[in-house]
This record gives sequence, structure tokens and C-alpha cells, in this order.
Amino acid sequence: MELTDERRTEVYESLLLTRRFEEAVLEAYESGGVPELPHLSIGQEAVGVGATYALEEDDWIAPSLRTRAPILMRVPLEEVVAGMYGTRSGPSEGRTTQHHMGSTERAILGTTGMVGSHLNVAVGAGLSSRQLGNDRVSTVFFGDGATTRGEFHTALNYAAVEDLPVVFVIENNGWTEETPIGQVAAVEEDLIEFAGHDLPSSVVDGQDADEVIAATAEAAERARAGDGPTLLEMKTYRYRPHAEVIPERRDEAEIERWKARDPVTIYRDRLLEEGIVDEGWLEDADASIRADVEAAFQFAREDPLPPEEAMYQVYADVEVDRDGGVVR
Amino acid sequence: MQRLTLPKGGKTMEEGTVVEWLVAEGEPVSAGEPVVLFESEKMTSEITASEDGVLLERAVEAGETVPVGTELGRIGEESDGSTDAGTVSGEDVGTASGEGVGTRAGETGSDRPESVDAGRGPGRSGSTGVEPDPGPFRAAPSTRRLAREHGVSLSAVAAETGARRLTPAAVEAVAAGSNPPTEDGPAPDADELVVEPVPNPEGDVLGSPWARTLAANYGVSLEAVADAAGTDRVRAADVTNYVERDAGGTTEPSATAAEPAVESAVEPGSDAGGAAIERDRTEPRVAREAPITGARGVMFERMGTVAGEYASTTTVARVDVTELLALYNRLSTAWGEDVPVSLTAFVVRAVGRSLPDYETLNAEVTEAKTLRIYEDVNVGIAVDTDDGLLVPTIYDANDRTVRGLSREVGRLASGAREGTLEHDDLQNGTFTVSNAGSLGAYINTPQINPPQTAVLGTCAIVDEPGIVDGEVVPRKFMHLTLTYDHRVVEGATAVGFLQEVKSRLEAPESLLS
Amino acid sequence: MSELTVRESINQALAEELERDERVFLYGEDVADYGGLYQVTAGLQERFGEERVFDTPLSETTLGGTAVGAALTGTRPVVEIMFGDFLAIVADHLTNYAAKMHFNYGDGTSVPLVVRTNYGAGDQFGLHHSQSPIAWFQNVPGIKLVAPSTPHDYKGLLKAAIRDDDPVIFLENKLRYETEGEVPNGGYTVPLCRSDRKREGEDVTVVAIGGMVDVALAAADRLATEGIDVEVIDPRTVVPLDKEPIFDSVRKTHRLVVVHEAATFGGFGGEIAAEVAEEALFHLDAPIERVGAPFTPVPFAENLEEAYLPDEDDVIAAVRNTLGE
Repeated sequence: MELTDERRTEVYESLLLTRRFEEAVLEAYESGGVPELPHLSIGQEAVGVGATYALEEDDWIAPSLRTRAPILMRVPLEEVVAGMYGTRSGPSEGRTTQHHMGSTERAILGTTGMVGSHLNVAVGAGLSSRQLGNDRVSTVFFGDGATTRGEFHTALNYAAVEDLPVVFVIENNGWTEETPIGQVAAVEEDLIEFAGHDLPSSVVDGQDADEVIAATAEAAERARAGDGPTLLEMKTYRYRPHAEVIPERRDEAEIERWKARDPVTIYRDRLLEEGIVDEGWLEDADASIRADVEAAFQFAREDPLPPEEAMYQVYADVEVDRDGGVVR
Repeated sequence: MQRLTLPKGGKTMEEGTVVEWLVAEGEPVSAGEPVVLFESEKMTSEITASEDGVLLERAVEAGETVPVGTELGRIGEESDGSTDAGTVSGEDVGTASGEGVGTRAGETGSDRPESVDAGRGPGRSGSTGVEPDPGPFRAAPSTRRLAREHGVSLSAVAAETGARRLTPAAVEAVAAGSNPPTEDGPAPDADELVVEPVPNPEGDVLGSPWARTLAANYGVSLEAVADAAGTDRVRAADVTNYVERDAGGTTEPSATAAEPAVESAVEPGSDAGGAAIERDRTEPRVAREAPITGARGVMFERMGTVAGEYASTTTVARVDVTELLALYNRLSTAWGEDVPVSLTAFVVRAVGRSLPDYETLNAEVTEAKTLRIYEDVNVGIAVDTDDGLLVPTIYDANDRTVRGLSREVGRLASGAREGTLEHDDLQNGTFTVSNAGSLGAYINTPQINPPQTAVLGTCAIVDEPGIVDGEVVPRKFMHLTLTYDHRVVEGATAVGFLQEVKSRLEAPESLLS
Repeated sequence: MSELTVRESINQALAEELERDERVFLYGEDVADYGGLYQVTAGLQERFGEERVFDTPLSETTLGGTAVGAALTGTRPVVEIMFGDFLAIVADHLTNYAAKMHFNYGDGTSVPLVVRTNYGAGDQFGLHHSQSPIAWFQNVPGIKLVAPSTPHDYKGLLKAAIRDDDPVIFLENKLRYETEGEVPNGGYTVPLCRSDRKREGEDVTVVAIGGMVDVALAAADRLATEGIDVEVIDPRTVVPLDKEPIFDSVRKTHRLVVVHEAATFGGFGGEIAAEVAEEALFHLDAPIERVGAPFTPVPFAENLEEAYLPDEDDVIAAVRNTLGE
């Protein structure tokens, strides 16, 4: 995939936006200001940003609840923040949080609170592409914990046996909630050992956005060519606990070791090194993104709560009353 | 022991006056014997003894007026007077001689359920008088009735059998003087296995929701129905049977006597055709010039408008009202004088039920030549008065029951004749029912009450041959005439509406729900 | 009109909808080459090709998940789940995904999938191949549950279900695939979410669903010889429920019996009873009767299964109870 200088600055801006957004979420949460319980991806930004960057705009994306970067890259910031506050301008008028949001127009598949249940759903999107004869690729993000579920194996098997256009992206941050993945997954070293199916797989440095872009672009190309799915294991790390209600119990040294390979810093240094941007540009970009984030939070705080009618959207094709009775 | 309490004879009865004691204190009385007369709401009724015994006490003397429920006296064994402290429990009040005495004392006074008290205390013919009270026994109304028929005290049955749940078989056995079946004895016939899935608190009558609804509509008491049906679980069929048989009487009223006068709004004119008087062959002599004012003036204006502008068209239906009249007679008995049943009420009920589906008939033609269709159904009823025709209005006629409509028809008809109606009573009608039947009209075409679009006429009820199940039998018929403004009402609409009213009147029970 | 079996009418419905709409496709375990365990989809792959009708792995998880994903992205999948009992495996995708995505999205996106499956005791298939799963899903807002009773309704309702924009669980009584009935020639649909009066009567209302409609009608015929006039209402769509015709009927007859195949406790009948108690209590002349299975799994032995499954005698006894007989 050809990356121009301009596109690489955009990659950096997406990394920085994701970082600044989640820092603002944490700050708001700690000051008691956000109803949605944050499951932050700080430290993992390069995976979502890089993979999304490698795809076409109408390629289907099925994020996990922690994969914020693709959401932020495809959905207006104000809508996302309103989704966290449950206000009227959120993605579903307060019916659900932005964690699970779906948008057909933006090619984002909604998800659920069942870890990994979206894998076969993403395979189904690939099935649609085949049935409808279009070349849309379906990319699904999921954590290391999901690889221990039947969903993972049934989805890999079906996508592989039918050669469906699907890219499976494991965001392996090493921890299944509060348990090390090595303790619960029967692999020697890497989760791709699980593959064993008739599909290509590789391990990718999830802290380096360029590496992620390259690997994903190759997988997407294979899918679009009708050669079937690919399993990518992105090695990464989250700096925060599984969710903000859970106290940190990981080794401080482990966290610091990963912070030394921070995905935002790696990309910034590379852009500086290659002379694509200078310090002034970087300061300007940061100030601009901070202002956008601040404005979005301000918007969401002032956005009214939804009207009660908003929740009566259960059926698309029949009118029902409050108690599910058909209105004739 | 029987407590003689002042029963509640009617819904409005709150007190009564003791007229006369028929038995002196200390004198023996036997079951069924009248003991005391009381007067309430201009009716004199009697309270009868429900068991043999002695009048132990007169608590209220003749001439005294006391509230409903007051204990007037007690009947019991001589010993009761000294051993019974006489505390009156809630259950006792009002149940000793039942309700409804005020209006039907003579017919049904002896048919009341026995007081639950009869089950308390030592049995009259029991061998021991000092055993501790083992608590109340249970007996279905049919068992209680059987005991009354045999003149057997339930407490005696309880005492002799030692059972707490008394069966008809036990009563029969005690009455026959034989040994009653014991609880360990052979199983009784299947018919006698009274399965009671829900325990019925002693003496209470349970009614299904629909039975309660029907009973309220008929204005009959659930207890009376239970007693008549011999059940403590009243269903709808028990209510209708009761209204048909027990309250309405088993014999068909004679055709002439039972003919209800449909709102006899005006006395029929006297027959003047008797004596022929010879007159001069000159211009007719004028008796007097009468002004066309007041109600007649209104009629003059309106009928002129109708004749000049409306495309009045009339359609006729012949309605078999045999069942309607039978129901009318049953209700007349059941409701008593409180609510005079009105045939017009049935007609208005049928109209109110049908009109919402024929909206152009519940409408008016405005001056701007639009058709204003009404949501409310306000039915005017044409009433003749000495000063001409008045059409008072029954508001929201479609929301009223036959009973409610009967009341309202009565109020409006008498108000019209007495000139006591309010202004509102005479306007806001959206449809009119006119009755020429009370005057004997066989078929009468009523005129629309402008600016309405239709008027329904009811005609005389006549005995004519009808065909039921292929047989020619005497039936009662009434013509309905619907005059409608054909400018805005299609013929099919008018005919459809009239047929619907007809079929509702021919299934009159449906109008009660 | 033609005389068709339930199996034929379902097959026709699928063929007509595959023909009508290119977005429709049919898949499941053994549905293609073999024609389905009950041969309901026989001949369809031959006619529409491997692209439109195809077999899948023995994985209900894959079937449920991919059907949701396909339905969310522009196609109209029709999935066959071999037995209704296996809906327990697909339950996550049906309850947490299919039922909730229209609610979860803000742009009107819905999940137009149909899950065809069968149910029904009476063939000694035992406790894991006989259950009626209606009650499992009736408390899930967003799912439509359809359980037809006649060949006519099977065909018309399935066609409507495939065209419907909401997720539909379409329940076929496996004991009645051979049942015959009149089916109009040519395309027609029967609207979802509309109750149907299968027999008019004055005395008692019997609300029966799926295979129990036949049972209720047979009971009604027997009672008619004694002058007891039973009205039979077939809701056809259990959720969301078209309640008014049931209320209207009870207001007329004043008595209600509800008949379904699953355990009485916690079943569809309790819900109907509660609805009627709320809306028409004062029209009732008798306690409501529920006819359903005992609170046990479906037993295997011939006599045990017979005792388990509600039959005509059970319905007749319940009707008599409401009449105080």
C-alpha cells in the first residue's frame, strides 16, 4: 500500500485523536462525569488506526468494545461523546452506549456485550459480499480472550472453508480481563497457533501503525481477490485495566516496558525523523485535536437527554404498543 | 339462635320503623312464622322465624325507627338467653333474614339462607350441650335449602354427624332418622362430591366477574341468585335463569296485561266519532284561533325547513320484539319501582351501539353545506306535550346501560310534561328517536329534526303471526321507520343501519352488556 | 386451489421468494444436496444453484452469527436449524444480536433474517429433539415468533416472514409436515402479527398455537355434537401479539381456554391469561383454563410422551371446566 506523506500525517492525527479522546474520557470519568463505564484502549491505538487506514471506506468493520480508533475515524466526535453520555445526539438516541454502536452508512457493524459474538457476524458480512457480488471486505477486531471461545474457531472455519472476504484481527494485549492470556490459552507462543485451518496468518507489531497498515492491506487484498480470510495477531498492550472499575494489579515494570514502545510516540518520532513534520506542526496538531475533544465534551454535556419515545424502537416492520401488543 | 335484624330492603333503604310485634316475648315460634312487621320506604314487610324456638327478646318496640342492621330481637332456646352474651359479629349483621325483604318479603322470605349462626353453639338435638364450640361448619346453599325443606336444623346435622362440612346426604339421613353416613363411610355418589377448588368463606357468595356484571345490569342481588340456583358460585347462566324464572315468574304474562306502554307521553285522544250531529251546509264554524308559538312554533319552523329543503326518504323494518318484551317483563319485576323499564331505552341502546358504524346518520348539514359528523352520540327522544313536541336529549347515549337509559328516559319524559327540563336537556342532539307507537300507529314516518340527518320512528307493538323454525306461531312485532336526508345519506347506509338496530333488538340480551 | 402438504407449501414459499428476490438465500445443515432432514428444501439447490442454496458446517453458532451479519449488510438469509431444541445454541445471536440491533442502531437498520426450525413431541425423538421453544423467546423484545397451523398459513406466513424487515423465528410442527390442506395457486402472503379465527363459536374461546390448533379444532368438533359451540383463535404470530381479536372473542364467550405444547408453567398460555385478566376480567364467567404439558422434559417412552402431549381430551376437559360441567 502506497502511503504518501500527507496520508501518514493523517495516520498520526488519528492516533493522537484516539489518545486525546480517551485521556479526556478518563479525566471525565475520574471526576464523576461520564455515565458509560470506560474500557480504554490507550496504548493499543496503532492497531485500530492502522487496520482501518488500510481498508476502503465502505469495507465493513466489526470493532470490539475496546476498538475505539475505527469508530473515531468514521463517526463525528460529537456523536461518539454524546453516545457516552446517553444524550439525544448519540448514535442511537441514548438507547445504547457508543461501545456497541452500529452504522450501516459508515460500514460499522454493531456489536454486543458478549465477547467474540461478533466474529461470525463479521463472517456474515463477508457472506453478503459474496451473495451480492460486491468486493467489500469485512474486518473484525477482537481481544485475545475471544480466541478461547467457540465463536473464534467456528468463524475461522466457516470463513476459510467458504473463502469469504474476512480479515480477523486479534488485538492481543496479553490480558484476558485480569488473567494473563498465556495462562488460559493452550499455545506455545502466539495465538495464531490456534489457526490450524486452511488460512494464512501472521504476527504483527501492533505498536507500529505502519506495520499494521502493511499487514492489513495485504490481507484485505487477498480477501478482495477471492482468496479468503487471513488471521492477524497484533501484539499490543493497554495501559489501563480492563475497565475503570477494576484496580490495576499488573506489574508496574511490565506497564513501563510497554510504554517505552508507545504507538503515538513511535509514529511521531518517525515523522520528525523523516522530516515529514516539524515541532511546530506537531504542537499545532495537538492543540487543534485537544480543542476538538474539549468542544465535543462540551457539546455532549449540554446535549439534552432523549425523549421517552426514543426507546420504543424495537421492530422495524410493525407498530407495537408499550407492552408489545400489535397496534392495528 | 336467630337474631332478628332490620334488613336492607333496597339500595336506598337506610332505616325502618317497627310496626308491630306478632309474637310476645317468651312465646314459642316455629320456622316460617312471621314475627315482626316493619315499614320502610312506604312498604310494610315482615321478618319470619328461620327456626323453631322462643322469642327471647324484643329489643326494639313498635313505633321505633332504627337503622338497617339493628337487632330487633332474638329467637332461640330458653337457655340461650342466659348463656349467650349476645355479641354481634360482623357476619351476623344483615344475614339473619337476608336482604331483599323490603320488596319481596312475602315471596321469598322463607327462602333465605339460614344464618351462619345456626352452626355455632351446641346443637339443638345434640346429646351434649357443653362441648366446646368446634368452630363453624360449612354447608352449600343447596344443603341449607334441603335442610329447610326437611325442617331439619343444620346444627343438628352437624351435631349428629360430627362433620364440619355438611352434605345433602347427611341432611337426608338426619331427616330420615337413620344413621347418617360418617366421614369414614362409603363414598357418596359422584354427584354429591362437591369439588370446591377454592375454599369459600362460610356463607359468602362468589360470583364470576361476568355474573357480577350481569347481575348489576339486571339489578338483582348475587345472593338472591345464589340462593335460587342452590350454589355459592354464581355464573352468568345462574343470573339469567334467575331473572327468567325466579324473578320474572314462570308463567307467561297475558298478552294484554304485559303490553308495556312505551313512554305514554300523552293520553290517547278520546274517540269523538260517536254521535253524528247535523250541521248547516255553510262555511265551517271556527272554534278558536290558536297561536303557533312555543313548542308548536318550533315544530312549525323545523318541519317547514325539512319539507322545503330535505330529501326525506323513509325505510321500514319489521322487528320481532317477542323476546324483547319477555325481557322487558322480567326486568320490570327485577328492577321494581326504582327504575321503570323503558322500551325506548332498549331502542336507544341499540341505536347507540349501531350509530358509530354509520357516521353520516350521526351528523348534521351545516349552513356552509358541509357534513359535520359527530363523535358523541346524543340521542333526542321526541315527547308529545300539551304544548307540542319536545325533543329532550340523552347525552352520550352510547355509553349508557339500558338501566341508565331507562332512568334517563323517565326523567326526561316526565320533565318534558312537567316543564322542568333544563335548557341543556333540550339541545345538542345528534340523532332522534320518535315514538308514535304509544298512540297506536302501525307505520308512521317521522320527520327529521333539523339540522340532523335522520330520525328513527318506533311504531305500535302488534300481535301477528310469525315464523319460528318453520312453524307459524303468534309473535309480537313492531315497525321501525328510519327517515333520512337522502342528500347526504346513501340508501345502503340507512338500510344497513336499520337492519343492525333490528337485529340488536331481536337479540335483546346483548343490549344488557 | 391445490391440496398441498405443509412440507410442500413451505417448499413452494421458499422457491417463490428465492425466485422473487435475489437477496434471499437459503442455508443450513444438510439443506442443499440432501434437501433437509425433513426434505422440506428438497430440489431447491438443483433449481437455484449452489450460490443460493448451500450446506454449512454443523455449527449453529456459525449459522446464527453469519445470518445476523448477512442480514445487517444487505441480504435476506433464511436459515434452517435442524431442531428447535438447537435454538438454545443460537440463542445468543438471536436474543442479543438479531433482536437488539434495530434498537442499537440509530439509522433504522434492521435484521431481516428468518430462522426456520421445527418442534413437536409425539414421535419419540426424546428430550432434545421435541421441545417447543416458544416460551424461550416470547420475552425477547425485537424477535418475531411465528407458529402456523395450516398449509395455507405456512406458505403465506413464511413468504411474509422472508419479506419482513425484522428477525423471525419460524416454527414448524414436525409431526404435521404431511398434513394436507387447501392452498391457493399463485403467490400470496398472510400478514404477520395478525390473529386468525379458525372456528367461530359462542360458548368458549380456545386460543391455540401451532400444532395445537388442530387439536383444538378436533376437540371443538366433538363438543359441537353436544351443542357446545367453541371458538378457536389462532394467533399465528406469538410475538408481537395481535391481542384484540382474543379480547373480542372472550368478551363474546366469557370463557377462555389456552392451549399450547410446552409446559403450562411459564408458558405462552400464562401470558394470554394475564392479558385477558387485565383487559376483559369483568367479562369472564369462569376461571381461565390453561392446557399445556407438565413441567417435565419431553419423555421418551410411548405412554409417557402421550401423557406429556396435550390432546383433544385435555382440551375438552378444560372447556367443560369453564362451563362449570
